[in-house]
Amino acid sequence: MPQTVKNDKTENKQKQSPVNGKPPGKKQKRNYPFYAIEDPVEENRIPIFIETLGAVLKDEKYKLLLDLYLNTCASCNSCAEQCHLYQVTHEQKDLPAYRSNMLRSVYRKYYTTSGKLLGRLVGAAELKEEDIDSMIESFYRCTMCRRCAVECPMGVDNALLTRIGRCVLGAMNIAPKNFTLSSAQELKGIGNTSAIPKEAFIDTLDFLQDEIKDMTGHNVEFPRDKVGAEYMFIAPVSDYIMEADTLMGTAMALQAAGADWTIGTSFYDAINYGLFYSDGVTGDVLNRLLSEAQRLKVKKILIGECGHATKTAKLFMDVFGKYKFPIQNVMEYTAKAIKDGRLKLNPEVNQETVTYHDPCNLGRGLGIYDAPRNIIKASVKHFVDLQPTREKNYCCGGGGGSVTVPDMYEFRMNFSGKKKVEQIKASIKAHGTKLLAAPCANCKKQLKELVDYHKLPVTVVGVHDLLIRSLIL
Amino acid sequence: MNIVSFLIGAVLPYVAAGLFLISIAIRIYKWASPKHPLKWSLYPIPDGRTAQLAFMLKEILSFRAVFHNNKKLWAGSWLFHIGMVLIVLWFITFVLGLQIGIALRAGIVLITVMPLYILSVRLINKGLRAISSPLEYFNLLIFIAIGVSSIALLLFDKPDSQLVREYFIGLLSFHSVVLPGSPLFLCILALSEFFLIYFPNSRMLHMISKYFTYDKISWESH
Repeated sequence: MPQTVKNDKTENKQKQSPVNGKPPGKKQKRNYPFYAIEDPVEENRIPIFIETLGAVLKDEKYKLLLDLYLNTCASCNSCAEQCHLYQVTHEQKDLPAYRSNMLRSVYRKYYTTSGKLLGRLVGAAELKEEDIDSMIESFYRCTMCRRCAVECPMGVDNALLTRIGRCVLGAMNIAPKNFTLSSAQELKGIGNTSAIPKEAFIDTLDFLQDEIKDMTGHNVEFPRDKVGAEYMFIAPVSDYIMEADTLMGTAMALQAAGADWTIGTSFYDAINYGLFYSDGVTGDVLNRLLSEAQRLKVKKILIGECGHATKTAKLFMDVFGKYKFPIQNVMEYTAKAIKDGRLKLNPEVNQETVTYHDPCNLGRGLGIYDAPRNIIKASVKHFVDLQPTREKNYCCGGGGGSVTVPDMYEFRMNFSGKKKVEQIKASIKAHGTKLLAAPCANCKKQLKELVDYHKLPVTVVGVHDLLIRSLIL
Repeated sequence: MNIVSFLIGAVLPYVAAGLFLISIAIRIYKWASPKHPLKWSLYPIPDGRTAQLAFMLKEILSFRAVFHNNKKLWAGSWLFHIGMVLIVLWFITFVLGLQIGIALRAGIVLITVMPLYILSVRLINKGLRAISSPLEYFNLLIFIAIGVSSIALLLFDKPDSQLVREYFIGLLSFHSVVLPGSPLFLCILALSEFFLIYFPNSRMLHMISKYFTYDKISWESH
């Protein structure tokens, strides 16, 4: 994993441009903080920024939200007390309200009468090049977890402002190159973010079937391209490389529950990095997913264990979707199947103490708190909640897409993931926790890296992983 | 009544109250009317209308979130807002003919001392200082100015309360008014008028926007 930035303190001192691994030539003359960027706009950044923000302010989707969020903060800093990052770094740039004020000051200066007339007095400030640089850094240090929004007395969601800030920067192609390149690959290239060709994907499905047969002795199918099935199942494609157990557990649960389901082999990646930096990408990727469901003439879409993919599909389908489908997270399906008695489970086979990490996009974002807990409780002997839990749970530290950015590894291990480490350690100490279940590809990757880096004696698993042993087929 | 007194005492009260009401109405209309196609809820959503109202009432009456996150700031802002409520209550009962002097005096002390206290908390706390624009301090200074002049008025130049009451009743019933002849009274009146005009255009309007951030965004289920 290429790590060019040691931590956030050294990067400011770097005069050259080692971040993107290129010598500071004519094209790459700026020193971008924190992560590599592919072909950013270098000229006229200020007018582009102001104009793009202006367009967003008029956008029907964001108009009301921004009008409220940009005008409402009472500057009480409750958000800072809730922020897993600020509580570790205590740096000004990590104060949620300070970060949001970066956008507010531009908004006030260029889009409010009082700001035009009174300037600094009303928190309006002329936009400068260095402000844009600060925003590039600050908006990507925020993991958009929304824990601060839960405790905002004014109901302001700083994470949305972070997203808007990122989208405005994204309009200038200023985004981690892992986002832009992976999205390009998903949209124009091979069709998914992990560059898995169709043949290899189909091989993987066969391999997973064989694995289940070897492990359980049962024939469990991964049905593909079954036109007219009730459900199309789509997982983050990285699961096919990194989370075989989750996928096997899912297939076993779906088959055992009698689901009429299929996997599309023309488009099989639920990942949508657009959520983290671009509305255009969000809509385009989502429409590829919906088109696949349309091609297969399914009735509903089941998204695998992935927070951002589920949230993006559920929230943005209404505004960007070419087609409309009922969308569920697969855990909602499995939990219901257990409740209805369609799945028989034996919790005795999983004796280790299991705890559960609420992914931000599934918990705070969608309210999927109980389904995963009900699946786990039916599958294992000892379940304990992390403390704090549910809407007060801490972000894994890899949210907002930061987990996919290799340059941010040290930052994630030592700063944004620090609170999570403390939380896991406390659970191990209090309950002897052995398994940490997290139904999200982003969270799982970050948690596994944290566990390795900090040598924590727990194993990170998905929720459906637990069914492999407990499910009675 | 000279021209300045006439303006401040008989014209601006209507202008200020009018602008206050119109601006607030425009804001409410702007926030209440548009359908926003992108849902951006925050879970858990209190279950049902009663639970939502209970949540909001609890938050508004106790400043629960600030209490949870910063006790020092909470003590200041809570008592500060109590001061404002006392003054509004005093004004209403006063016009109706009741004399609850203690409410007025307590209110005035709170809206003077608490902003001073909050100001110092803002300046001392590194994080709060970083997010406070000059506007934050300016908002507090308006209250301190109104509070200090009111204390001075009560201590050194207390007008006859019957005259003050007749003045307000005259204003409210659109009859000609006689202004109590104190320069301090005029000064408080002018500051309050400025406040009324300024308030709906400042982020002090959070008392209203707060309802919409919860009700129209956070609590809108999918």
